[in-house]
Amino acid sequence: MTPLGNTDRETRFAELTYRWRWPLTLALLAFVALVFASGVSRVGTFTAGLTGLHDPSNGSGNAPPMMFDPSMDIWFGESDPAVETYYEIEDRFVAEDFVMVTFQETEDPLGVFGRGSLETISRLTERFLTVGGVRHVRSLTSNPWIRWGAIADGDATEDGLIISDLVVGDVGALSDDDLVERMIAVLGAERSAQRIGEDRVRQVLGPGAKFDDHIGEPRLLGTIVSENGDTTAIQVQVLRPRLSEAQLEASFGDDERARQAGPTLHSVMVQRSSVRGLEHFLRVEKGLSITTPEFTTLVAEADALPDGPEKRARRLELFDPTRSMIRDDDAAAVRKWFEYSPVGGGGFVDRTDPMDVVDAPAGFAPQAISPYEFKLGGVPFFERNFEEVGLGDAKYVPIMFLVLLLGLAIVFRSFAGIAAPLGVVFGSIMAMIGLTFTNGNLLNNLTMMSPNMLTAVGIADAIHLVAAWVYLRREIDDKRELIIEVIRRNALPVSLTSLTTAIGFYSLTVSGLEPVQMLGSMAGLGTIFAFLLSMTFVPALLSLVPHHKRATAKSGGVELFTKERSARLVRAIVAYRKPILAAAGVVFLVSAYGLSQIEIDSDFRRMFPDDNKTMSDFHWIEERMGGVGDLEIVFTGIGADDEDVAFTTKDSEQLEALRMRELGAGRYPEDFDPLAPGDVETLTQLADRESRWNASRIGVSTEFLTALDAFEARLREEMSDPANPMSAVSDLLSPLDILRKIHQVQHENAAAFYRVPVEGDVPADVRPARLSYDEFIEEWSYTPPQTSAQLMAQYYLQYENGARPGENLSTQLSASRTHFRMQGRVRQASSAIHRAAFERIEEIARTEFPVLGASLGQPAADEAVAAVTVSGKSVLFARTTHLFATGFVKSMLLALGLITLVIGLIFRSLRLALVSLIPNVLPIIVPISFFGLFDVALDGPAILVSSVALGVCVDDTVHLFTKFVRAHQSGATAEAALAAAVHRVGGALSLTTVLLVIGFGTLLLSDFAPNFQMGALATVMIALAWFADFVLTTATLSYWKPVAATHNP
Amino acid sequence: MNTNRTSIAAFALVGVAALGIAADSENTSGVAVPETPAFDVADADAAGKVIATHADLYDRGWRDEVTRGRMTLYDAGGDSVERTFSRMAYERADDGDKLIIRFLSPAEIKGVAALTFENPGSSDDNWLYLPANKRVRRVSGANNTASFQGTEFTYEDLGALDPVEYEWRFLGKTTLTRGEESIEVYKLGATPTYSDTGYSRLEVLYSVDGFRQERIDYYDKAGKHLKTRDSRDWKQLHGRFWRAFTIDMTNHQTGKRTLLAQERYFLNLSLYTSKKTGKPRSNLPETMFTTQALQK
Repeated sequence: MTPLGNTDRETRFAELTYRWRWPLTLALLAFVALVFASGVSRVGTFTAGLTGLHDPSNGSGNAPPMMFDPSMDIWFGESDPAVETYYEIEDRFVAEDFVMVTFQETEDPLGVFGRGSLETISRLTERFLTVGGVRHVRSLTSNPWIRWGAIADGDATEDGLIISDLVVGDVGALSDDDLVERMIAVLGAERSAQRIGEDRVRQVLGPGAKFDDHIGEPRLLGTIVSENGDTTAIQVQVLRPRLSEAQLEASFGDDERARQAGPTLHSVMVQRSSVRGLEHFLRVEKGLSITTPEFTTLVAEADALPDGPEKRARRLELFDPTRSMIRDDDAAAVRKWFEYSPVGGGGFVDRTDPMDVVDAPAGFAPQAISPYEFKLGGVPFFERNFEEVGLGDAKYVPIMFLVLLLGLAIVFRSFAGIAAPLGVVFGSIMAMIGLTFTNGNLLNNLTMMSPNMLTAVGIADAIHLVAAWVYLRREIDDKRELIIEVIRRNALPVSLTSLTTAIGFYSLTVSGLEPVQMLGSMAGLGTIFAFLLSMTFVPALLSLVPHHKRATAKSGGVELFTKERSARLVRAIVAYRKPILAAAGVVFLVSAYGLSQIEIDSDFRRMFPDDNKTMSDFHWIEERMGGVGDLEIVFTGIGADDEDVAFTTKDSEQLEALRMRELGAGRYPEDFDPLAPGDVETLTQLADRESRWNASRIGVSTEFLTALDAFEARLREEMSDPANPMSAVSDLLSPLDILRKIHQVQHENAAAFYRVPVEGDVPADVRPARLSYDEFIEEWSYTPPQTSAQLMAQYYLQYENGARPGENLSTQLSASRTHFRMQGRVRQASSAIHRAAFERIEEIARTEFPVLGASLGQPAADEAVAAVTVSGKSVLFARTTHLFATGFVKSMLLALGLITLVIGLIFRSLRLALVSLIPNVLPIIVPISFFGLFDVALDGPAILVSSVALGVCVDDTVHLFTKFVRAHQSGATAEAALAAAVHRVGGALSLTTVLLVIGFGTLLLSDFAPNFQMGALATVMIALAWFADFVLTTATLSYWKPVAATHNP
Repeated sequence: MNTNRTSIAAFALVGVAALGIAADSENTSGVAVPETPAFDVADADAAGKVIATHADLYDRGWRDEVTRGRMTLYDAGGDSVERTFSRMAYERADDGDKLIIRFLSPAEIKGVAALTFENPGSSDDNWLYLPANKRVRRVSGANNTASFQGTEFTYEDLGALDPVEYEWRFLGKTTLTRGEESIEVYKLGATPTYSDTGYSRLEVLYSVDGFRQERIDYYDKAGKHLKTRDSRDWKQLHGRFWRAFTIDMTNHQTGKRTLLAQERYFLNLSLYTSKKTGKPRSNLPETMFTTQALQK
């Protein structure tokens, strides 16, 4: 006896289910309602906690519930050194992203050094600093201009070292020569001469000036201003604010999940507000922000308040650029300004309130205050674009449901036939979302797909029951019997397909990416609910439909697979089974080849439509100013993180006291006791520890910095070769730039000293240690031997003493000088190019600069003084794509293995299990292999749809197998058993297939390439699954011998 | 901005007694405590100005100071680095103070010394000596908003709050709780009236007793809370001048923090006896505040 043959047990189960259908259904629905309500409530609490920290509503006060986590951090793989480095940068240096606001000046001969352009830069710099969340603004007018020159601060003018902004005070006060002087200071004499002519440059520098002495400012070239001087960037450092323990406690109490999700969501929200503030000021520049009459009234009211903090606070609130709405005295939301945006045909609309987009008044013509077209770049814009375009697809969900509803209506022509599948779909989605929220998780870009996936599953489950009901209505008189038979026939296949589908989804949890894991467990859970609802709610609902056999005999749907048609189809397939299977074999081999050629790759440029503003801005900037993505190359001194290398201030003081005595005892015996043997030993030990500590302090190591200087030059060499993947990297900044500059300026601007200081730069007479007596403290003082390391440490101090806090070295060099950060920018490219570039950086360090290139956590070569890690969001995104690919292969193999095992166990047949592989695997690999065969890169997220398709394939296979085995065991020939099976399930399977193809087909409308690819893959896979089962499975099973010979004991 | 009171607050300072505020001891400084002026809180602006002016006046007459201190710079992750320094200050009654700050540790910057002449109403004169290249260079920093030696303090923060450079407002009398300690304070709002500032406004807490500057909250130009400066461990020197021995400056936006701790404090040297000679010491001469003195 096989389990399939145990009709008694199935009947008993069906009868039991029927008797308890209402209590079970109501209990289940109550549970679904409960978890949904609890989920909604938890999201509500979470939202309240978050909005208490920051109002994300643009001032209107109407914050939507926070159900969605748009942060990109969730995409970073676990236990990846690049990810650890990324978070370490936040801890050690600063948590922020840069935004670039760029424009081009083509009219003025001085380019962006012209008055008009500098005025715009200066105005925007000042305004951007008033935007909440902006830590610092670097621009042509605001950056440390380090130079040697006359200082007239006090009583007498004296030459000295000056650190000031390039433009101090009013741009209008600068003479033409002042402007040219600044141009030369930044671009250098040679580049300036190319722009304005040699004579003009000499007028400012003097006739005898050597152009080689004026090398310009490497820290700004290619970063803040293009080398030809016609394009400039205002670089805004936008914080990702962190929450203190007190804020976490106040907002989220001891809710652990909220404490995890809250801070990232908060930082994204605040960053979005900051970006809105920046955009506001750009709209002001373009004359596209017009204050409303209501706002003017509110300002007048504020101005009428007595001077004092209340008035200032109100004015700050009123003019807060990050909010375009405000609450008035009656707490009503009032628009502060119209935010006009151009639309096609020359018109403008106001987008202040996304709920209420209105046209600009007729004849509106913006009065721009600067003539420039601003282009925006940086990770925050990229992240926002990703979310906006991705979420834009939500509008296709209603279309999908409408299509499904129409399909069901046409086929079943019955309310119950529509309500049962949709009820299962909605119920299971509610349960899934409810449980997700109840557990404190939020939706993200990927798990947003889970409702679509679950729709496929739910429809498939329910349709089998409804189809059986429609079919059996004509044959069974009694309603109770009818429903019991519907349950009996479907109990096993529906449980089995639910199990295999759940396995397919849960297999995603082996991925290294958290969103994929979440998608797997959510969809898996949803599948279980879809099964439970199908077995309780559907029969209960169907049992409500009045039943008269005669009345229904002629209605209730189209029967596509009549007995005769089914038999004919099977006969035809059997006749051609050899060529069919041979062809399938060929297809399999070609696909396998295609799979081997496949390249999983993400290229953000490809993901968006051509007219996407963010991407076209990025492109514009990258053509003129280099990349808009971030790159971090972080060096850590060997031993810097070891406990036993630590050298405390106390140790240092003790060592110094001993050294002073050692030195003093020889020269001033009356003041110093000679060292005792124990002291000598202590001194030796301390000196040894000090030298190990110093070895880890790479930021002041001549060996490290000299090597880094050469390393930087090597990187630049490869970056300048367009054929090298490294050309995706532009612009390398590090404290080296400061060091070289201070050294140059300490030598009165001589260009030859723009280099890393070496031992020879330390005067001979300060190299030995010295003693001096401090008359005022009345103590001896010891000055240690001066070396190039001391010189560099002192240069840093000199710089930090003059620069603004925003330009502080602490964002690039740890205070202990053990961690050193080099920042680059990355152009948009495919993730494969990015990965190649990032690996190349590490490779150059490892192979050509062993001093720099140890790997973190690995034993270092003897000569290594530092370990290198490459990180940054661009790096992490590139790795995410890679993780998608490896995780996907693991998940699919696991799922297929488990599913095949389950099929083998249930049907007690190894052969059937093996045969099931054909219809389960082919539909998946054929479409994927096309990407390899035609050399089209496949986006990571798109392949996840294979998990749904696998569920559908297995679903088809199991239903067919069940009916086939039953018929076959009852003694039919293989061909007859197949015909019976096709007749029984053909209609339901075909209907599911059509509905799902149409449902997923709506994704083909998407502007977002990954979603489009997903739609294309899903529709083809699901259609192929139908074909594989009806044709290939049938062809294979037709070889089955009669039951007696094949029966497995 | 007028920085002539820099020294007072330079590494922090005006104010009250420490761990359970020390009982007033006899005033041996020879400088009388000015009488607390009357103010009417109904006129909040006037009251604010009176309190701020009085707090400034309260700390006049200290003549010179020699101190040693320790600054600890913390990054957002809590890792820290320490530097020690000595500082000499010379009070000029009608002009800016003169200062020499010299680093004592870590070894790599030992001997780096800065000389400053504060110029009320204009930029200060600054010189910096680097022992590793043995050069004194005249230096000109970005401005008031430049960081002081890479700490969370800017030059603007080092100067005492000059009453004439802010718009003041009395915000109320309240209690500052710090651990076990409760301190009665006046809360004042201060808005800088000079242009070279990094702040839109400050909130300052002065102790009712002794007019110590217990806490300042700084708000950036966007009106967001930027930093808090908490002055603790107050000692009253010579029964007269309050000095905070710990000053804690926290940047709320970056999570970074600088802690300044005074370890030795001599205020008005003529009130001390020389270790060597056993005789009373003399005050610092103004003539020692020269570039030559930096190179010792």
